[in-house]
Amino acid sequence: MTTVTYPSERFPALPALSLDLPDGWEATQAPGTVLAARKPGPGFMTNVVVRVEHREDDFDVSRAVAEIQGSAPGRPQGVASPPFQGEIGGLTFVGLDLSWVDDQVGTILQVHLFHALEALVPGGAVQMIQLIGSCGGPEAATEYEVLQGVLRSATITPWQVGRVEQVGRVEQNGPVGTSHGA
Amino acid sequence: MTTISSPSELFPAPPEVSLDLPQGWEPTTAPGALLSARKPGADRDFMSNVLVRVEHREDDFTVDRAVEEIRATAAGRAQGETAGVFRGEIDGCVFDGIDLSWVDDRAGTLLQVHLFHTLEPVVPGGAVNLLQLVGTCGGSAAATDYPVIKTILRSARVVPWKARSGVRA
Repeated sequence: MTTVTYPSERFPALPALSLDLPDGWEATQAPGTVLAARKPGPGFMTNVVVRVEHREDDFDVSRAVAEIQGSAPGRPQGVASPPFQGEIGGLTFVGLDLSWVDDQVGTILQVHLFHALEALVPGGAVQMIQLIGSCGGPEAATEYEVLQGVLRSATITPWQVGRVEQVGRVEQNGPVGTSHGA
Repeated sequence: MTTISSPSELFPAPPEVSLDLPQGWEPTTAPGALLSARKPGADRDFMSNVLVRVEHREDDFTVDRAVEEIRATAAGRAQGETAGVFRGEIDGCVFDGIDLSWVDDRAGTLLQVHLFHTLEPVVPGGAVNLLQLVGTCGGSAAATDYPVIKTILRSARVVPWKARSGVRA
């Protein structure tokens, strides 16, 4: 029998993440995200979310960028920008902008930033970090600058085996990905 | 300025989860899953597999809604069907389960068991962690593998994340 465990080297725990929010913003919960916040108000609420997803060990952020680019033609007046690159919290992110026209809101502008944390062991999971900011309506242009500021404030600390604050219990030698027993 | 962080009381980390695998099963990586494993088989159209998902949901979320989502999934699949909801305890946690089946063009009938448990928010307005254990089998091995995937899911050990003192939202 083999035991598989989350978190472990094979299935690493999510990185620790933080975002600085401007005055007036609030934390919120969004399915599929590990961190989310928005600026409350009428109409479309400017928001940021952070997703982290396990991907196979041959995963590359260019695939994630291609997925966003591929989604643009399916949206009304959908346009994806060419990819750009920047550093956040000491990590290199690849980003692109996506915009489309919503019936009610008008133009929605979204920035997607991707970074892949390498697998810790051969065959282990890559962790894809995706930072997304969305704004829309008449104030989209000014809100876009705010969004970029929030996303650039991100701090990311990859998990390490045995790190205390990520797991509910502390084991002397740290959790192990696979162990073989009777 | 406010700083929000994960993990924190408002955005709790997923629980620690372990699964015992029978001989011949191997760990694998599935998008959206924290933990996954399968039974490799080169000559088969479909590999029996299990996976564990954990997702943040709003603080009024209940398992009933997760079960409803599975029923809605069934309606959108070829010959999709769900069975009645059942309840069981795994490692001291109460799980609500539902079976889903549908017909896949290549693999034939696929049989899937979904088990849901919610970890309550740590603080008011904090995220619920929805824990979902999924086992899938299909094709000619479905009848023999269905009890195997149920046994694997029943082997789950779940240790909820706890914020250390001083870890703030």
